[in-house]
Amino acid sequence: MVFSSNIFLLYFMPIFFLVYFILPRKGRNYFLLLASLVFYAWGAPEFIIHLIVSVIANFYLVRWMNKTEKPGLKKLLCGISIAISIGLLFYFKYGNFTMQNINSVLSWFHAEPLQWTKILLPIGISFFSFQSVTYTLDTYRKVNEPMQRLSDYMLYIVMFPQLIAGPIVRYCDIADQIRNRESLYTDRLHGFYRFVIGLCKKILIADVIGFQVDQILGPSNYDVLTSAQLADIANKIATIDSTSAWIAIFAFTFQIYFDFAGYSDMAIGLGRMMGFKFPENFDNPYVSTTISEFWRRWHQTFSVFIKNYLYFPLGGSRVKTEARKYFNLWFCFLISGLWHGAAWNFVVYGALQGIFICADKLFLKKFNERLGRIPSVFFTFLIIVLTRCFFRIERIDLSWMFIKRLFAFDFAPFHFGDNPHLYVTMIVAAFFSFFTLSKFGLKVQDKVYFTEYNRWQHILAFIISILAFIFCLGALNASGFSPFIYFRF
Amino acid sequence: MKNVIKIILFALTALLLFASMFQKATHLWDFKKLNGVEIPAPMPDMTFHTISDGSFQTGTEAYLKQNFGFRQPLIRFYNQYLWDFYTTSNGNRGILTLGKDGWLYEPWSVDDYYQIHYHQHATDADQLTEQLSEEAKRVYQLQHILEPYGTHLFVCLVPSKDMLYPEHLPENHDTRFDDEPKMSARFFLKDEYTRLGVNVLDLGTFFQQMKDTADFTIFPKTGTHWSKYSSLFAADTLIRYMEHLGGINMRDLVIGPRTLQDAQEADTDLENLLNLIRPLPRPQYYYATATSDKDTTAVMPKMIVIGDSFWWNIIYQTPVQEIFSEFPYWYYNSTIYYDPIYQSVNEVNLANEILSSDFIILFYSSTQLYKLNNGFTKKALLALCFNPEEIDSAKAKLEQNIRSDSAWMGSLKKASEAQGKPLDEIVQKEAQWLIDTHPEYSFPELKDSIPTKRSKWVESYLSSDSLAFIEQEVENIIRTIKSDETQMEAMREKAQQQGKPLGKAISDDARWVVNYKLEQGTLQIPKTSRKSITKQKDHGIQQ
Repeated sequence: MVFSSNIFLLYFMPIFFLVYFILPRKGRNYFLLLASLVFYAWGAPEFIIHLIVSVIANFYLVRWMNKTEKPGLKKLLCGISIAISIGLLFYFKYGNFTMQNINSVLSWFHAEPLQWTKILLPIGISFFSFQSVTYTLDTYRKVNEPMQRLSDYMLYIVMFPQLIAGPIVRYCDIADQIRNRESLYTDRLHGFYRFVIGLCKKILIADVIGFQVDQILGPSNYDVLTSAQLADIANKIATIDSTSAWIAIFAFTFQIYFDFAGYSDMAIGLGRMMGFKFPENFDNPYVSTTISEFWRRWHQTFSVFIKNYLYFPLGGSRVKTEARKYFNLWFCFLISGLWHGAAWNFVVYGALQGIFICADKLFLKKFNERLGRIPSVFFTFLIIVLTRCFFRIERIDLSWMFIKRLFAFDFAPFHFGDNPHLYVTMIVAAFFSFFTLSKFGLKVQDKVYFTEYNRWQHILAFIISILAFIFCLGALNASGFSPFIYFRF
Repeated sequence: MKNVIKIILFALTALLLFASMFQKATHLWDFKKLNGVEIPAPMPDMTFHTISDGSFQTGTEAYLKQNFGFRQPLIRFYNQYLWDFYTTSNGNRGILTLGKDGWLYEPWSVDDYYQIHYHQHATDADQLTEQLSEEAKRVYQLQHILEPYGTHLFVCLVPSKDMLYPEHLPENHDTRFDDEPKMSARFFLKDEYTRLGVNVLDLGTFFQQMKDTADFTIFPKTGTHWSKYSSLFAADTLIRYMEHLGGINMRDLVIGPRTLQDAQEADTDLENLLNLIRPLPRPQYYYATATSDKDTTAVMPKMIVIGDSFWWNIIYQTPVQEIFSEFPYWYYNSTIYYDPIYQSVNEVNLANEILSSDFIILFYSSTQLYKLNNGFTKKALLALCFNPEEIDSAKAKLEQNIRSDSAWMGSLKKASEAQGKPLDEIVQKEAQWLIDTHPEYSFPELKDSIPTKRSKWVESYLSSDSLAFIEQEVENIIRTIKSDETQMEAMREKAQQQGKPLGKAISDDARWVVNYKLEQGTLQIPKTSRKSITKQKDHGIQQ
């Protein structure tokens, strides 16, 4: 189930909160757990058993690990627990990719390909696997005691607001809230406002732009496309004029931000309505003056996870040689690229990010400082836009072809009237992306997101939220409503 | 006090979230239905199997998307916003295109005008040329096969809006196919039909010639079909052409005095799809009613129209029941309208139906010509030239070929797994598809200029008055039923169950029995008489 769907907005959410708030405090976690399992099973019924079994196994492994006094066994159990989480992630997410590559190599030597039945990717596996890892490691490092109840641990892993797309909530950040939290009316209202902000980002900006990007570049997720559809995409990219190419890639850059940030806002908002304080996930990433800053502002909970659970264990910056330091940095971004999807284009995307991060440390940051704030923001943004080509176009040869079309200087005349809805939405997206470059913008953001409202502000926010919610429902349903004059055959 | 405001606001939020469910359950407010047709999504069955394979979830979401409370005003509200701010609509996602001066077009009609529409139907111009040439040849073959039996087949080329009103079309900014040759089925087919000597009534040229002098709009500004008033002229021309082709005298269409009125729904069919809260200003168009001259000496032929939606305006505007004895409408060669017995083309004995008609009209507008008459010509040729057992045997042979080809079977296995259907069924469907789409592979006789082979149906029509014979048989069975009280009791029950008058139920049953016997070969049509073109029947229009 996704948040921006009728089933969630008009049925699941109202019924869930009605029951949740009616129930006594003791029963709320159980109900939240039950609702989360239903939420997950709705979209991926075939994986619910796998999810439950892996969660139960991990819970008891970590309890055993925590009880044992033997350091060797403790380490072993920690390793097994992590191996289960990462192993399942690897199997489901990278199994197909690995076999595909092994068979490609075998075909070079004219060897028989290995037999492999394609497996489906369980939704949200990247997120709940990482949360399991943080639980195991935080307990191992004695940052927190393990959960006493299986239901609490299961709730931490499968809690529906952040189950599908984060934020990745570290165990140490939420352990106390699971047992002890309060949901004040202020939280409920602020949570709802935040949810609606996220919904607007998703439906009114990301989806509008996304539809047009698909029109220009063809659909994404090439795994499910036929050869004919892929050939059509290749043809589209090969013949695209530079104007359309730039519009498409700028549009996609905004789409992915508003889509992801919108989803995070909705998750944070839903959590707050229940009294949870989830960590922020985005902090105006497009106003970054360097690529390093961008990654501190973009998908923050993921960056923190990579830093704490991959970069530091590799030695971080406290290593013997400069070369090793840069390798650690680059490797972390390579892995994070691969985390975004099991395909070579994501590997290239990650590797490029890593190279720019290293370049930042070496010279790019100084160069940007000399440029001044505003030019460096746009220079950094341009790098992000260009590297996004490898993110959106899921074949390296096509990505490269697309970049060549960007710089082919084969510009077609631009007609605003061709697609005013897209261009106005892009202008709105750009405005909100760069709004916090000004002090005024920062103040407004602080006021809207992080300050308690007075009575009148609440009333105003409520009215705006209600209108926006209705508007989003209209957009959500109108966009899928394309009737025919008559039935056609 | 401050908390009271928050409690009130939170309660109002909760009310808002439940409002849709409340409206769905109570239908407290009545909202204007959304215009247009969408494929209804039924509420799926909830079983362990449907839940575990996810079909219950996707089905439920689809159902709720069409059936939640406040759906109509929410969609109209957003559409109005799009129209007011961007003069655009969700229709831009595939249904309509905004032209100059507020004119609306279907996007495929615009693409066809710029001659790039064919890319959706063929890989290149050469492939399309081949497809269209083959189709024109099939029409020619059918025309000549049917002529000796008194069945006149002709093509009616129906204009589309872009052809008559190109001056309001939007500029073409689609540069994707600039390097490809320009190509449009309407021009190619017209030339090909002329070259082959196919009977063609070109209503496109007719209206183009009329446009400069006519004081009425042939295509309305916000509609996609010809106007209701123009369709009267199309119908009148069609009748005159049929008289000429059949060498008969038919009843004339009498067009009454016209009046200027606000545009009616049928003339704003594209605007209707915008589903706005505030309708666009209504232009005024001419409207008139039409009757027939009720000439009792005139012939009332039977015609079958195989065509697209342009026929609706004609059938709604003209007294077809006064001019034709029967006038079934094979909509896109799929659903049948205005037929007392059949509802789908798949149900009919094709050869029988074709041969019992006086006119077969292929009635498609320019943008639908790429669909090659929706397979009618291929199926008709098969039915007229080959017996069902010959077709079954060819199908069995194809199935055998498929099964002996491991690569082919491999791909069908994948399809079977993907669709969750038995492999045998997929193989049978593949063979049927091959027969339907490439009949000439299995029946090389179809490659001849005019095939000489005829099916048993055609042979029996050569020298017999089949219709009269069949009607006589039907009458005999009706008499038998009526004379048997047990059968009559059963018929009464059946009529009640089907909500039909008793007479109609008996007649339908009798007709079914005769058809069944004919198909089984237990009833043979005697080869003694001929079909009569002057046969008159009284059929009412069934809406």
